[in-house]
Amino acid sequence: MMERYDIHRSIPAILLALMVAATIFYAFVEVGFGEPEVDKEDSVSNRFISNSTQETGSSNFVTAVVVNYRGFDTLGEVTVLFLASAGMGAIVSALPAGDKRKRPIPPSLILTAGTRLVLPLIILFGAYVFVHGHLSPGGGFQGGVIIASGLLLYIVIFPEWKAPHKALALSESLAGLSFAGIGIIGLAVGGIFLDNVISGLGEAGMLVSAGLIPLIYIAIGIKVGAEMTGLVARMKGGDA
Amino acid sequence: MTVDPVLLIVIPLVAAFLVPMVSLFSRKIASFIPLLALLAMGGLAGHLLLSTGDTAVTSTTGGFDPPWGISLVVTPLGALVSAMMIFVGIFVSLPSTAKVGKGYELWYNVFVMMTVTGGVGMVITGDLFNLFVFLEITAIGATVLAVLPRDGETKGLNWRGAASYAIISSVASFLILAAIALLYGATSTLNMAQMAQRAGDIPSFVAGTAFLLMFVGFGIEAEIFPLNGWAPDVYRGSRWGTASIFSGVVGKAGLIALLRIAFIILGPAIGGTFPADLLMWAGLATFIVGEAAAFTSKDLYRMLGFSSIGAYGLILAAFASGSEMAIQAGVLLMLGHMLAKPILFSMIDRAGAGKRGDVTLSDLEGLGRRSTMSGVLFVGAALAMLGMPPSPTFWGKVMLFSSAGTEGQWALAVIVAFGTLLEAGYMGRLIWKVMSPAKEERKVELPVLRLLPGLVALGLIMLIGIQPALLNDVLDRAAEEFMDRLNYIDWGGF
Amino acid sequence: MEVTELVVYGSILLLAAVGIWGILSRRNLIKLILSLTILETAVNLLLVSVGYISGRSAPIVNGDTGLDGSPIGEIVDPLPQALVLTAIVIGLATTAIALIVAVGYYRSTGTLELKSWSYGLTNEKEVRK
Repeated sequence: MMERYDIHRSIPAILLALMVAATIFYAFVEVGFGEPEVDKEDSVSNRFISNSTQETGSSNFVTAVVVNYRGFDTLGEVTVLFLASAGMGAIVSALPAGDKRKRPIPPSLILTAGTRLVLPLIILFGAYVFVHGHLSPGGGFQGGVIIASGLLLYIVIFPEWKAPHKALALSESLAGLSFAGIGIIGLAVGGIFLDNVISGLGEAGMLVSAGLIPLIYIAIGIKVGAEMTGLVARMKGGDA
Repeated sequence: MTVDPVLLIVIPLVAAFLVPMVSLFSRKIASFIPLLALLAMGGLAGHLLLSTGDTAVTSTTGGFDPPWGISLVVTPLGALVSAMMIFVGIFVSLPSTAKVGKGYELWYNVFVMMTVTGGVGMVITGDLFNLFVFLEITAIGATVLAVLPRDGETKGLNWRGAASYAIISSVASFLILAAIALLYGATSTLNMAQMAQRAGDIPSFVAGTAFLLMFVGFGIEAEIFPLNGWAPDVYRGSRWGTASIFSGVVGKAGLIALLRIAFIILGPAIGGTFPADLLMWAGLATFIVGEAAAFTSKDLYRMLGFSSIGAYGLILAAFASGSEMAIQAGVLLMLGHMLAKPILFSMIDRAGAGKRGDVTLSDLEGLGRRSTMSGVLFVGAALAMLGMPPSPTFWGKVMLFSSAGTEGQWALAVIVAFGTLLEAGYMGRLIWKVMSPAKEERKVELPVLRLLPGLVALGLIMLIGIQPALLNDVLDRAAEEFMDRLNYIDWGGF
Repeated sequence: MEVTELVVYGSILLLAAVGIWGILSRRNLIKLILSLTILETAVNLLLVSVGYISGRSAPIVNGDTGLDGSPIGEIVDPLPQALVLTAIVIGLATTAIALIVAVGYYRSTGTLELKSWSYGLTNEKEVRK
């Protein structure tokens, strides 16, 4: 079908959109871009910048904030992703029947052999990224997404492959429980949920350092990898 | 010793993570997990309500004091509203526990529990970005709930409602996120108490923009006119439990969040009466439009949905009208609505059980004769909604009128009186139909798991209606929370 | 005005305007979801730019110095970067749910047009089947 666009009918929408965007934009100019807010005496981030390596043992400050200072947000974030993945499963089972899909064209040898070759490397790289989340850019979410992107490649190349939803659900569950469990250990030992009780362990900058942060990021990495794979596989359909 | 309120969030999260694992072994056992978690949360919320007393119960996470770590600030009002939300959750999930039919039946209760958790988190968190995270938990849970279809055919209406809600709630959350970014830029903190303390640092243009963004964002969640276009579709196509959750949890959480941000952070930053005026008039408009639309609705789910929209409007207007007594009235109205609405939705579901398409007035005919207890519950809840004594709504309306009289807000009094007349019109019609003789002799089944929570809710309504003094402390603290931001700043530890 | 500033300011304004315009004027679910992700990008960009400080490096240390050899302390604000990480993941989750709901809507109604959307601001003619 052809859509017809009458320019005069889109004027109100364009004006409204410009007005809202301009208001947000002007407020942002008022707040200021590139100004050293953190140097203000009373800024929250001051402590993150000057103390986080000592306090958490993490060389990556963003990781220190994500997993330690604001770990509770991250637990919520993991929950959101869990809900999306579980919700997708529930919705897929409520979907009305769709059209029969055509059989896809079989992929060539280069694609299948190449995929088999790079898939382990992608997964290894993903694991590397989440294990080193406290040292270098990246972390559990990024690593998990890298793993899922490898499996996305696999799903595209081998459309007949059925995702092992049970195994994915199990690893999702276990990883989520270990994240919450680490938090509860903090509550039981120090009386504070998600307290990094062994932050002093190891030397900053080394792989074994930053206490519980790498453990949490490994759990997140596995969880995100499993959930994203599940999401992609469900989107492909056919194996609810 | 007070139990750490963080458990209010951790228990359901652990429960949710457990479900996929346990369901691999036994779906029957897994179906009990959400209910057990909700019961534990209920006990905890009751404990917190009793131990808040004069101040708030706080908790820190991550091992760092606020503002560096995220803190929870359970104010007395927060504890009361959390307990009510959890009650709605238990009310909804009791009848569907232990049902393992289609693939999604097991997940229905999990999403009820998580939506309630999101709502509770929004009410008790002391951190602005954490509020956003909980908002998203609520929104995703509610979207999935809106999809899961009723037993009867609804002509794909569930998909339509869910699609509208999925889009509009995402818009809402991005607008709120933009406001949070601006506020962080202006105050370099995310802790709400500290932000309130620094309200003076926020440039007034930034504060105004953030306020409008928050108003639109949370207004969408709280079904405020004219941002509630999605709501009728959701109510019309969803299960009774989903409708109860939308009217009792999702919007209530949005409303409390909006009020807290408006009164404690942004109102003082903007200055003047503009924020309160906008909220009050938006509330009154929502009330009238909602009640009028309910008056003309044919489908009962839609009618009660509009009635919820009206109730949201009335509560918002009461909170925003500015006097101590009106805020207390707002709390009572909220209580009355959260207790009575699930009963009505539950009974409508009974009346229309097994029916395809809309449930209309004629399906209600003779409900009281076909099942005495259903009739008692329905009529009791409808009268309580309307504000017949003994009910919290009665006291709420009396206090709202007397506050309007003292403050000279005649427009408020007239509009509320007119809206109440409209409400009496359609509620009266419903009650009439329920009491009239039955044309068909089809029995209405009322399983004990439906009857029991209904009776408890009705009992609570009457208890608060007869003995409103029980809530005096909480009501006083609620008024303190909104009348003077120094209280919240103090409770939050600054 | 520096180039960085111009690019950041311009992108936020443009992306936000396009996203909001799309949400207001489209009623096709897929286009709505696209507009949503555009708006999300604008907001995420806004959020991460709030923490940017001119001339400073990434918030990671390598031993005693920053990644580019700058002294410790000369880094940008790490908090908004942490927030935006959370916001991106959440945005992904909402997009995924919206897409699967769109699939269900299409299968049950045979169309992707969301009726009664866009409050009359649309310029798309309603398609009748």
